[in-house]
Amino acid sequence: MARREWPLVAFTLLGQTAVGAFWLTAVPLAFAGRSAADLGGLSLGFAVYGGIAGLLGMAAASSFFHLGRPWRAVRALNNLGSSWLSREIFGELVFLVLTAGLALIEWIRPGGTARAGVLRAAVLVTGASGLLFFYGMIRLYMLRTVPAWRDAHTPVSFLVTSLILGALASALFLRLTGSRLEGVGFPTIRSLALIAFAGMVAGLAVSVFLTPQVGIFGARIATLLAPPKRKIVPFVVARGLLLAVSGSAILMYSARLKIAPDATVNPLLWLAVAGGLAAELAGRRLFYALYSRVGI
Amino acid sequence: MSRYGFFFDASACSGCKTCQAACKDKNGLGVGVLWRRVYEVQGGAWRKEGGLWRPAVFAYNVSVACNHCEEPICRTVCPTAAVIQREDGIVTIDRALCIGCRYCEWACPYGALQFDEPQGRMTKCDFCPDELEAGRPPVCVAACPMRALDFGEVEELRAKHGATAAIVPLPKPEVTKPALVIKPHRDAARAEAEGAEVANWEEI
Repeated sequence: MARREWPLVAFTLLGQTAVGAFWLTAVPLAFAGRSAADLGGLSLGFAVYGGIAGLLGMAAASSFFHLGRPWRAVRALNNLGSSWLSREIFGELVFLVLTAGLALIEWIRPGGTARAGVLRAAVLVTGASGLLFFYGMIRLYMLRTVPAWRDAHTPVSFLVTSLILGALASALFLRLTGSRLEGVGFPTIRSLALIAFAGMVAGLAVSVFLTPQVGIFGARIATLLAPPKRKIVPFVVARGLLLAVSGSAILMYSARLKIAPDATVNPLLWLAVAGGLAAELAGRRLFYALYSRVGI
Repeated sequence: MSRYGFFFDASACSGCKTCQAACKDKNGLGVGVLWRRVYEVQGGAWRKEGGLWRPAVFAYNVSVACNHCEEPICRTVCPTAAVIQREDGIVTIDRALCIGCRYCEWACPYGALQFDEPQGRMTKCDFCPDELEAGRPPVCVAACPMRALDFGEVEELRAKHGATAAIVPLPKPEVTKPALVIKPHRDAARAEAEGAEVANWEEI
């Protein structure tokens, strides 16, 4: 993978984390149906939306490093009619602006999103823009001239990344902000930990079964430029090991939460987050290493 | 209006790369940027005939630039709409619009779009429009000492040389419908049947 693709690694991982975190925290938060006080008011609502907007802002900023002429980046919206890259960027910007808007509303009127129907609709619209962003990200890579990307591996691996990193980021985030949401219809930190674990199991399955060239049911690419297995296998192995470490840590953390639900941020959670992030970095490097177009 | 296209005679090409050099010279292309490239294709192996091993290898060259496709995928995917197709089929890049995201480079199956690092934007073969206006052929065509390259209205080229646009290592023409006509090398069928490799990736 070329060094120039690191900004894209950052952009896609941050973006997919933001989409996952929004659907795992912001949407349930808006529909928890409790007062601002129950939900932690400003400290939680603003922190959730602001945190996700921050992730999206970092994603947008990192994407500039990929461009030869970043000062002209606004032109990337010129071709919404046919370019999935334009649509992806449009989705990202809408998602960012709406999430930042929700954060602003929470800052001005704490707990507002938990009460007002209009604002709940706004959360759903924001979530939908996140899905548009996510879908655009999938479609832009599924080029008909790049068979390794035009494969089930692309959407499935992106979805798994959203689950793993979205759930881990949410769990860490809620723990750091001191959320007390158990029993108000909001996902508990333990349930987020279990979602992350399920994502990691799915991630391992994707690596074993769907990875192009090496997976049991993975596509076999016969283009002249197809990467050799020796360039793919190290990433698959590294990702698998890191997912195993992260999965073990999050499972132990989940078991600890069952015994002591109010446990503060634990080294196990940090280990799970670090391992999960490293695993997805390896997975995304693998994704870009798979690139090979038909022809020359 | 008819569309321009290139004709390439693989049976005549000696692989001298004069076309490549002429293009680079005319357009002032920097290191690593090649709007026209010559691929050296090779294949085959030793073959046992009775008690004797004989070499049964083959090699030929394929000179490729942008094929100004009927369905240019570079134009479809470009987020800034910087890739433009003129009425005469020539595909060009609007320098002012390109932001250098390199998405077209991923998509083009001919490797036609080339990133110019110092300028931070994509570049590609523009069919030498100034030469056409002056009534001369594109410089790659004019420079070829073997007369392996030609150009013209693509329908006329097809009527004259046939409709083949496929040869290893090029992609299947159905992908983007290139304005390209090829006279295959005599070993092109073997390359298709037995497989072949490009021997000079380092150069291109």
